[in-house]
Amino acid sequence: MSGGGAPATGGPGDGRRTLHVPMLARVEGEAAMRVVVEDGQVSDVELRIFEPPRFFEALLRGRSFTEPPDITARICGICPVAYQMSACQAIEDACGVTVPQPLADLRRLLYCGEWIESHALHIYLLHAPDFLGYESAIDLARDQRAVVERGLRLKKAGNAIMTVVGGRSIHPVNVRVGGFFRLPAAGELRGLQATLTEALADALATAELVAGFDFPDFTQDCEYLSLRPAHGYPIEAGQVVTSGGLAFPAAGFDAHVTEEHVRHSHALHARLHGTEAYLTGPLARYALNSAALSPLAARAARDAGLGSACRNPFRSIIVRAVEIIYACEEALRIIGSWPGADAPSVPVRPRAGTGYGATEAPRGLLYHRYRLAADGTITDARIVPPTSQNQISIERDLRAFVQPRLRLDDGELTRQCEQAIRNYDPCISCATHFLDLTVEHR
Amino acid sequence: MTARARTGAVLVVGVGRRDRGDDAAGPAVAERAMELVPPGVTVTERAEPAGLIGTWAGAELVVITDAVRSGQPPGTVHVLHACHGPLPVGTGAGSTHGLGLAEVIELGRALRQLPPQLVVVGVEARQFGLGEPMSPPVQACIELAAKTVAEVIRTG
Repeated sequence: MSGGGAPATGGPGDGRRTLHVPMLARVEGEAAMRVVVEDGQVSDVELRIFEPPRFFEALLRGRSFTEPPDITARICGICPVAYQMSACQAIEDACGVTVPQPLADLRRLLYCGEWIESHALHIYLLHAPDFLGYESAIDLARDQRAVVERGLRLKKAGNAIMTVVGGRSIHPVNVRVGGFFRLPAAGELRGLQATLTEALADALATAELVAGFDFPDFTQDCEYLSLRPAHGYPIEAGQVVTSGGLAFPAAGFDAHVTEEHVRHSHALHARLHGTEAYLTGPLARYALNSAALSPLAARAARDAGLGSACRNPFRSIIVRAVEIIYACEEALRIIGSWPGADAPSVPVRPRAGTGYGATEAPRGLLYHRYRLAADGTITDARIVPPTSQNQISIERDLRAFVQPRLRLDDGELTRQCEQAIRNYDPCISCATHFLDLTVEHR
Repeated sequence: MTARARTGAVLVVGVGRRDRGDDAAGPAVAERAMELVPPGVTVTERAEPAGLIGTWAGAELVVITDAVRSGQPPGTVHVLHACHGPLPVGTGAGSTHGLGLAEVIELGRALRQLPPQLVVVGVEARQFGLGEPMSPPVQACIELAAKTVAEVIRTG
């Protein structure tokens, strides 16, 4: 007995109660959540998501090895750079090419822009209204205009990086296999410094703001998985590590993680062998790399009450704020020390083989694998986005979260479940956003 | 109607995703309008509306083209003036994106960051399947919608 289109069906005392939220407001994409309670026990939790990578994997077969950065950037309007970077890394791996350090630095800078923009959007426009008791960012803006303006300033700073380095703020067009189509002028990069200095101050204020939120007492033991680079906090490179002690390159991902179809979702669920569920994203990055944060970001994390790891998913909003601080500092560091590059890209010649790429999208690790024919034609593509990796954990956490809250009425329980789902910033992507108009006939 | 002399910047933004059937109407109308509007008008497109507030900062007139759904026949062209009050939107059954266009406009209003003139030229849409082309009636109305954009700019 699943719920229909209504926000909720059943109620306390029915013996069986089904909570069904057809659309999750403020989560990008199309999703539905279903919680079934039988005789006072949560018996089933399903997060149904529609995910487009399968479509894009099919679309990529038969295309040229130069096309994945551009094609996969269309998968998500919020994290196109993540798709471009994982795609470039995988194709270059297949072709045996490593881009020179100055180009790698520019990629990290571009990625910082996406982190700042995506995290600011999520914190201020999607998640903060939950914590502050507002229906939406619009209501928050009416009451606390300066707070929302700060979020939009941060988002704009991220946008500015993406425009200068990526060539366009949404769906950057300047990225190519082997590097970039054109290099930003030194003056363009320097022009970002004032904006980013202001953004850093806004990021510090953001960490202070979110540290003051009330957080439900809810901790979850979980296997964490993220990248870990040789130096610094993981963004665009590194080997895969887990809290269980595994460490392997992107090429080992398939050997450790398998995807399985589940009945209720278009998305595949990813399983890390030997674990019941694992989590990727800010909590995982932080737990596995907090020692690699800059001194300023580390101090902000401490001041906000974070230890070396954080096991309360609701406090992921603090980790996102700390990561914005780090991304602003990192962007300023790269701009301040960038030596210039000899050429915007290095030649990449196709060869038969398979390549692997993994980078840290704002919401978690994004894995790409491509198999190429000798002429560069893609014969196979595999994309594992962070949300499909997190889905089992999200459902498991929701089950634990809902059980002690069954006394709440459906409306409040639904609201709290939505807030809990937003902890993971699920990118269900591929959303349409047409206006649902009401036309009055007179 | 007579053309109006303008001093401020004019911006046309096509909102939508080209991979999603009729959701491509917004970008398609903006692309065609580019050939019809006077020189100096900036035409751009966005896959997601959340960044619109930053995009339209400083513009005097902003025309947004987007797919809409109201129950009218596909291909119907709507002209909505957003400066005087909220758009007549429903409960948002189709607006599952992070922030929908109507929400972004209301956010701009709450922050007092709406442009002096904001007009939405909407195309009644029918199908939004991933990888689908635009439906024939939507495809057929792109020209009319683009001319409507040009007319809005010409007459203010």
